[in-house]
Amino acid sequence: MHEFSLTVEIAEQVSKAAAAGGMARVHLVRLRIGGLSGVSEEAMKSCWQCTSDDALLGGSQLEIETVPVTLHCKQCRQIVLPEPSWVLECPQCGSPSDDLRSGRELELVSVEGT
Amino acid sequence: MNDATVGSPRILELRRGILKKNDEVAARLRRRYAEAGVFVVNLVSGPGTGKTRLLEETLRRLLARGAKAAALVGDPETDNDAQRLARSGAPVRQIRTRGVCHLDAEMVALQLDSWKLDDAHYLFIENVGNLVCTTHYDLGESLRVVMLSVTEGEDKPLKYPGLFHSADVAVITKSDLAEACECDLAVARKNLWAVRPGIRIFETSAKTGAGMDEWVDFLGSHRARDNAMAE
Repeated sequence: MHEFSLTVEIAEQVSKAAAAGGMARVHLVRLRIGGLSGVSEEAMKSCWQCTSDDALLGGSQLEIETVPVTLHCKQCRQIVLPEPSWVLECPQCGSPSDDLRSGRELELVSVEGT
Repeated sequence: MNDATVGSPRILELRRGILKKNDEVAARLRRRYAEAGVFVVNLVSGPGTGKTRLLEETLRRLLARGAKAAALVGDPETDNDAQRLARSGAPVRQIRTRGVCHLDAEMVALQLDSWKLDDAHYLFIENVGNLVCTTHYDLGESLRVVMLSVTEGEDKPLKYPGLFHSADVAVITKSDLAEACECDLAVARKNLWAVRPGIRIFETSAKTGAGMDEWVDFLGSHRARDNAMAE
């Protein structure tokens, strides 16, 4: 369950940033998670409920934007969406491509609070 | 803070990696390894793939060639693997993660603080057997090796694409059992290349020694190349 370790990291970073920014209460934490990262949105959200139980983070929500897996296809000279997302080949011409342009993100985007 | 700001919703833009802290420690480790000329290999796979067996044989062969190699092994509990690896004659340390499903850079850094490895040529880090959680944690390694045994089924790479995609090279283990397990090695290769196009694949059996020379030669040439680039 690596989602728990991830939410612990998020809670630590968000708490520091919110305190430094003079927030008393965090309402929303926005994340970007790549489709190839192997992170479950559902597990992240339930882990977040356990890790965000103090006065600053309690009751806050996680908003997760899933970033699609995209590749650059040399043959077609464009960015393509592989299908299924984990088979890294161009859906148009079938050439394999290891030139991943997105899909591995584990990003803390922003914090909303008062 | 003045009173006017209290109560009005605000947004703080952070735009940073969730594992920023781990990545910073890993970057420090990587510099430290490079300065000491230690080639660091992170071995990842599911439990039972044969990481310890492959590593034991790899250490034995490297030592026989006159190289200095050490190993750090992570498991949730026991030091069984460290005991097995120590039979090779290499210095070995065990990290007991107490239930944590992966090693992180901090756990490795803590070990290295009290372990003088500057004269080692190789440090192998055998990660906790896990095909998901180990994916995101950079340990500052020079080479990430993902392993797949013929007993696991050819479709493991498709089931766990994140980890297989994160690797630099792949080692297929227990090749001597391929026929008995009805494992089609061509399909295993095809699946590895589907999730990680072009990845270099070694087929090995630590038991019979098949493919081991090629694998150990590769480690030697990769280390030499890294050192040449660092100079």
